[in-house]
Amino acid sequence: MSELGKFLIRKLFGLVATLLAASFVVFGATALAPGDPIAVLTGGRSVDPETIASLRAHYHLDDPFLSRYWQWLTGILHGDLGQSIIARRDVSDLLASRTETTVLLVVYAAVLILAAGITLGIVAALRKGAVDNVIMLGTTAGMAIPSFLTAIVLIVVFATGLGWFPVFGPGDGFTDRLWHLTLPAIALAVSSTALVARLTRAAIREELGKEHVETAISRGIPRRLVVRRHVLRNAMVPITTVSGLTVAGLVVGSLVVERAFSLNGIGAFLIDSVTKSDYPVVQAIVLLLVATFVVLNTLVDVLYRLIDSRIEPGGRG
Amino acid sequence: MTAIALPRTAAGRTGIVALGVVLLLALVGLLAPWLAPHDPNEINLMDAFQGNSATHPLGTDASGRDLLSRLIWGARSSLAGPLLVVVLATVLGVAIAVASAWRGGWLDAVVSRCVDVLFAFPGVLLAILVVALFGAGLTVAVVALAISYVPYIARLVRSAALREQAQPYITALTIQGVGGFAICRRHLIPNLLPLILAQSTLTFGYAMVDLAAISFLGLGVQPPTADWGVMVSSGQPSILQGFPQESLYAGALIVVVVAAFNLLGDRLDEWTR
Repeated sequence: MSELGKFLIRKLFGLVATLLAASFVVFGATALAPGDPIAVLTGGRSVDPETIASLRAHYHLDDPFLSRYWQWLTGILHGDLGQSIIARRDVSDLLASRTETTVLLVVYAAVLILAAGITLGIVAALRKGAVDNVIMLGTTAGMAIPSFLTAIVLIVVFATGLGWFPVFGPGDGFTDRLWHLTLPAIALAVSSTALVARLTRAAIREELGKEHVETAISRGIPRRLVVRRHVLRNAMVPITTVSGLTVAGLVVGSLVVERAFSLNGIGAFLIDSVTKSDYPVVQAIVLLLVATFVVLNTLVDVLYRLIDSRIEPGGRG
Repeated sequence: MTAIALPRTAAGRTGIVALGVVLLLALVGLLAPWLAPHDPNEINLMDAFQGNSATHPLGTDASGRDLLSRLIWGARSSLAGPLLVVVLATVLGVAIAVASAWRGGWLDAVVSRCVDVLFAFPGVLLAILVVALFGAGLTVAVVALAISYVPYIARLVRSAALREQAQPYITALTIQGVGGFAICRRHLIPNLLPLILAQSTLTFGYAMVDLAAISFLGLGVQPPTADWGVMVSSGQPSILQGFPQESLYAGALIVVVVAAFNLLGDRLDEWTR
């Protein structure tokens, strides 16, 4: 088998193992939780023992831990994420409409991060002096501001202050949605954009200093051509990795931003379920977020390897 | 009195300024009962949304509570929370890392696999899971966040410990018959301290942002306790009424502290190299 094939198989195996272990942590942690699930189910009302017995049977509360874990896991593999204790509906139904908002928000932010971050990084790397200084100063500030504060500042300035954007809610229809999600996406993107810009700048500066680049320039090849053919192409390897990992991290960053803008996404639903002790929903969403994060990370690894075929699989890049 | 060599470079001076800012805010938190002009939780609905005045230097919030007093009292949980997170995570992380690096074998293998699994949980998600199970509150949030930082510290310290272990002096001590625990405690860990200190300082900034975010989500410090993260969140409805002060002041303080710790961490990092 080819080296690449072996690499892909090993990555896939690692992905499955990590997901299994993570699912065990998510489910096991819930089993460790103090408090009686029956109390949550009945909402604190006193109920007769028969009802309690039937509830225990319905939610398999008396089964051994491993058997409950197995049932939960096989259910998830069949697309059954369990039932919400509070809403008494399938978690997958509850998630369906909310997923759209979150996915749109994360993709929107990812596009902003890649476009703005890489552009700023390239400009800062190639234009030494004032432009570079301004960008570096901006990114230093950008990295120190937490997303919930960016959200607040954006609301104060652009929504309530200038009135250019709507303050809350996800909006209807695609264009209206994008309109509503613009401020949230910017809030989510700012600190990651700063990070990507700085790392892009560092990667390009490093490539610019290399001998083959200096040789090419001293041979009289136009700088633009050298930058495009040699500098950017080589710098793309670390840039892709960092950008990919950053975008994977947005999955969790969206929690805070959704809350700040009262968006009805997965993150807001998770926080809501946490405060209501709706464990099946919490388990399902946490596992979903972990799975997304791990899959994106694996994709970045694979992409890294495809871009730079020199990298020994499993070795240090 | 021992003379302390003050840094002469511009970078060194920003480090000193950052340290000064942090110490000043810590002092403000400690002296809150004497510095705060009002009771931070005293509600007076007649005084809601006051502007700056002699009685309320920074104005009041939606319930008429004095903002300056709340910011001063808020320094306590806002600074003590991240400090506890960093101390707890560092102690646990260093202990686990040094033990697994020193013993190697199955212990190292098990620890490394566990760390790998914890890395599958992005950012504050693990902390949110723990809070979901044990209930919202500062203590739970601090422990939860500390646990989610352990893998990062453990991974870094483990690789540093492995490098340090390969040094001849460790072999010399082993040959002299010094016990493994004594070597780790008296020689290995002290030699890793500069790295650990630099890492802890940088971690403080992250802990502050994450803890504030958890409080912002309503899962950490509970209102009406004065805390900067809580204030950013509880001041949000007032923004729509045209009074963004509460959120902005509290947020600005968070940014100042985070930036100061990041600067300080960078300086320590350079200094230890």
